[in-house]
Amino acid sequence: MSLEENRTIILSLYEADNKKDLSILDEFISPNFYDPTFQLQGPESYRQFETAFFKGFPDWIETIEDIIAEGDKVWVRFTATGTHKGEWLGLAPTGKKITLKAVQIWRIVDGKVVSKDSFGDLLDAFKQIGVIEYTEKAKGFSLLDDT
Amino acid sequence: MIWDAHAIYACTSLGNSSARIFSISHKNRNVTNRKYGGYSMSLEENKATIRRYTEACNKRNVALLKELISPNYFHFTLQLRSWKEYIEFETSLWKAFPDLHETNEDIIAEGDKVCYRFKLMGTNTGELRGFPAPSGMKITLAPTGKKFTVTGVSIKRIVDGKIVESWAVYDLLDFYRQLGVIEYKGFPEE
Repeated sequence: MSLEENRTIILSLYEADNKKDLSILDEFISPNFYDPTFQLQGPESYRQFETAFFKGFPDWIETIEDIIAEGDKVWVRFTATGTHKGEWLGLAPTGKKITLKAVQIWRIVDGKVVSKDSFGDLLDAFKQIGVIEYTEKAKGFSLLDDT
Repeated sequence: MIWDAHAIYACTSLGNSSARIFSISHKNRNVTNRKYGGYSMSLEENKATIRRYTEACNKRNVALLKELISPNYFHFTLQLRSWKEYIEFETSLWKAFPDLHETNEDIIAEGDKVCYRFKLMGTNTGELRGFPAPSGMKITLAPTGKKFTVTGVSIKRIVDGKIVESWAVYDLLDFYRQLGVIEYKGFPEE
């Protein structure tokens, strides 16, 4: 497959996420698919993960800012936003809107995605939802407003 | 990743213009320099620049870093706007983590960009000053004595052998947990 073909497949997967239409997964996700970040194996576990996530954040939108391909890899840098309207990871909905900047690394063999690795700093997302707090140790910090 | 509203705004707006630059530079490919696909440096040369950069960081080689980083360097994530701001930040990290060490893996390149994963390790024996924290804050932290290991990814743009722009995702959540600065609340028992 050419870099352009690989890029097209990956772009269509982001479009599918944004439309919340996962019908193309069967065509592009390999039976051997593996996601080390979320410990997913195979297309069905991919579909289940996405479906559960969209219940938590029904208005989740990913905006691609850069896409870089070499060999069998495609790197995507994007910003996502969504509102925590449904249960997610056992957390009751908070109604909070979060913004997440992330990079995903996809590997494609013969037109099928065989792996997807995600890097996003959840620190501020979790802070926005309110599931982390500073410890006793942090009490002595000076927190400087950065604006 | 740094989450102050400023950075989000800057990354969003500048991210779009960089997407434009990206598509323009792709359009010009095969026109200016067929040998290197339209860019003055080859992909392998750009990857070699990143390897030298990481080595220079690990060896605290400021002279080599100055050679590799453009005076007009811009780090979108950390909001560093020049070589001077970059080296001040890097130097403050070396003070906070004197054994700070980075290893790279999984490096790819296309056009004028190089992408790579990194693993960063260090021990917090010095003061951490003005370090990015959640919700637009910067923290100053007395030495915790704790060791940390985090993974991340970086995308760098290279022009004529010099790094001109950086984007990075650091796992700051894991970083602050390892230093004992934050803890989870509200999650159901696992």
